[in-house]
Amino acid sequence: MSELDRKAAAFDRADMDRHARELHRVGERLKDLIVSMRRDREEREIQRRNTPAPLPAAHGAGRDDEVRQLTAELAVAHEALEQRRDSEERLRAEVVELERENRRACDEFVAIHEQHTVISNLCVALSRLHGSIDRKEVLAAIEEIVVNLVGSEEVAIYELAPGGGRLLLTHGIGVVGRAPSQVDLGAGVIGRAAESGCIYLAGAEAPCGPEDEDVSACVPLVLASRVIGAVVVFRLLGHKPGIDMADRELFRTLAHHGAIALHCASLAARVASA
Amino acid sequence: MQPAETGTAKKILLVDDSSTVLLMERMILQKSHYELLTARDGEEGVQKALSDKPDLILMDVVMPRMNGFEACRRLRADDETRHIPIIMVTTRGELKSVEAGYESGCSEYVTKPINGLELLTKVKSVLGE
Repeated sequence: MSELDRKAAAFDRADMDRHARELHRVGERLKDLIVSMRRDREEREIQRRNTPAPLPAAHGAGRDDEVRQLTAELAVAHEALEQRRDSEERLRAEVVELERENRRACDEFVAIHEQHTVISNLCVALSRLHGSIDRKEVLAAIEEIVVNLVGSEEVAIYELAPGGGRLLLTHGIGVVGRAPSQVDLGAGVIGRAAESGCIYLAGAEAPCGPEDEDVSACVPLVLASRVIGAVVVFRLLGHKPGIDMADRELFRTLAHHGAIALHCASLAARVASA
Repeated sequence: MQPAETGTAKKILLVDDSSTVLLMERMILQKSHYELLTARDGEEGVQKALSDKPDLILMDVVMPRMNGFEACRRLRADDETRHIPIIMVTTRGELKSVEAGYESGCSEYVTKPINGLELLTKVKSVLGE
């Protein structure tokens, strides 16, 4: 190896040693730095755990506001509740009033229909009585009016005897053994009603005797203030409670128009036979 | 809703031998715009029911030729008329008569003297109005 080569090799070894020592020093410094950083991090972690979270700024004032707000809302809710209760009371009162009004309207409705029945009865009775001048049909009409519109299947029709003074039975249904074949004027309820020309209704006065117990009504047939006969109604149908206002109106119609119809039928028969 | 409002008047057959009753039933029902047919006894009532197919029959009980119970039974026995509702309208208000009416197949029972409101209510009820 030449002197030069020996010096070159010696120079390289020195350089290498120097670089190695340099690297070693840098490595040691890096290690120290890493250890220091770890230590700092651990200390910060410990410090963070041991230190509590700071409160937000002005916390006490917010709670008071919240309480005030809730109190105000409660007051509003109370007021709304009171208003609702008042409204409910008003509605209840209105419902009661409407129910009362409804009941009144129903009662009126029924009353109007009852009036309609009364008027219908009268229209039908008039139509039937004056619908024919045939005596048989007029008598049948009187009988049907009593049977179907008043409600009795025991009907007797009397007419004044030619000489006057008594009534003779000329037509009847369901009255066998019940209606006398003739009645003297003034005798019993039938005779008295015929004599006076006033309608007799059972219960309005006491019957004269046991023979009149079954008489519910006696309707004198009156033509120009003169009694020409009488319609006698005996027992009413079982389900009919009694003589009512509609029946009284029918009796008044029978008293007048029944007499006219029978009289017209008699005249027509006389004309036909003449 | 009144029948006239729908454009088809309901048909009601009135069966009674009394002109007075027929007139009364007409007065009660005519303002409700029903088409009204009449028959004067049970037999005629059955024939008209078969020919005219009414929506409802008002049937008297005591009638010549055929009474209302028998007419009702005949109508119930016939396929063409068994579906027609029948309301008995009669003076016979005793319980046994009412029972006989329902046994013969009637749908409702009304006693005479007729109460207009009662009859109208039952007619509307049976006709589903």
